[in-house]
Amino acid sequence: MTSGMESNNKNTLKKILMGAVSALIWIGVWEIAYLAVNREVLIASPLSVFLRLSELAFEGSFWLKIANSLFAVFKGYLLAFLAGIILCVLTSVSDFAYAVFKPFLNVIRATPVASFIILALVWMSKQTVPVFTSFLMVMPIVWANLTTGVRSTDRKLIEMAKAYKLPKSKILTKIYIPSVMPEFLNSVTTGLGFAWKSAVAAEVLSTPKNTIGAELYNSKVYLETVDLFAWTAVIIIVSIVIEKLLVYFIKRLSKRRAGEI
Amino acid sequence: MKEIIIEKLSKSYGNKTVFKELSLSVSLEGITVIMGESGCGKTTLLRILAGLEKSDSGTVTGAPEKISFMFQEDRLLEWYSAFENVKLVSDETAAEKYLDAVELANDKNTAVSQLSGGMKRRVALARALAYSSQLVILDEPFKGMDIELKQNMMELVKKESASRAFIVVAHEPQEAEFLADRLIKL
Repeated sequence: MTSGMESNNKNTLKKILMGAVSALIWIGVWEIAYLAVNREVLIASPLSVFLRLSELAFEGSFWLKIANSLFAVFKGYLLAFLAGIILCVLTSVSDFAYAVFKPFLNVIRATPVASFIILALVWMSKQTVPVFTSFLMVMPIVWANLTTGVRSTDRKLIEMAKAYKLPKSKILTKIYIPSVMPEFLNSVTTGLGFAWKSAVAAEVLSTPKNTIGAELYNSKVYLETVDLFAWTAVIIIVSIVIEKLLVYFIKRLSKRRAGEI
Repeated sequence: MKEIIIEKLSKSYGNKTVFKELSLSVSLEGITVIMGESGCGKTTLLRILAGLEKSDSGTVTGAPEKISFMFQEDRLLEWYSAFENVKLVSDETAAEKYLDAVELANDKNTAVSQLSGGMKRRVALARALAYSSQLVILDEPFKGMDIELKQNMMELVKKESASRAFIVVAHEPQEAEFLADRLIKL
């Protein structure tokens, strides 16, 4: 047991070290590119970006901007899950609904995000555009993943449930939901990435006040390349942190499911 | 004596006729063993009796409302334990009782995905027995079991047949000889 724990600790340490070395290598490549170009307006230096980030972190509005963008992402993300689940139920019980919605959702998936953002700018307020865009990007992913899960549920198990006259509620909770769970968890992580990127892209075009996207837009307008790099770094860091947190919660959820056994 | 009456039952899949105008009666007491070549329609007949499939023509009368069906495949929920699988169709007491009867009391909390083929078969048997039905249909129930275990499970079925009817599809004559109160050859 102890040697097993030691081996786990060694593996974790090895992973951290490898991650750190890898990060250092890429920061080195970045520094070399900066030195080769030697114009901060084209490529900001890692040190300038780090110093700018340190400055930003002490400004109250920095955290407000992150919070505003995150709030928009989560609103769109949660609405997308809600709509995706409802639509999945509808298209799973009705072949007609499936035939009607499938092409519509395929069109949404194939349409460039910029088209939706520009259209949304005509239709709604600046603050709503990122929510709407992330909703529109994530909802078809959730629907498609869940529908795949429902359609690949073992028909023989459903027949067994019918043979034993199990109530529909039990068929749903004991067969369908566990069958769909891997696809659901996959949508959670994939959808988050899409929600985050599309919401920031929408913010860049709609520039709602006090958001990350608006800051990216400003840095482009005023040629503040250091700011552009710093805010991009913020997006990457927040994205990684949220994804890690989600994966952590998903793993805990999976362990709880295993604990039921 | 109560019985299921099957009259002029026909079933085909596309061009393949499984059976045509089949008429027979199955007693709702003791054990009826059905034997026959592969593909002769044993499983299809049982599925029609259980209401899982419709015949092309003919009638089935007298089939009880609650029927346990042990399929050729185990059809277990792999993400649950043996106990959870049996409890799905019964109460906890019956689940405990029949898992003990199929000699899986020590493995009742093991995930089905961790069980061997023979153990899974016994969980499916326990599930069929734990369901409070008037008729138990067992389609090749002893597949994958070693000789001693098979004998124990056959004795269990024999004992249970005192309180309700069984229809068992068997391939081996020894199984039919031990179990059958009546034998139907298709």
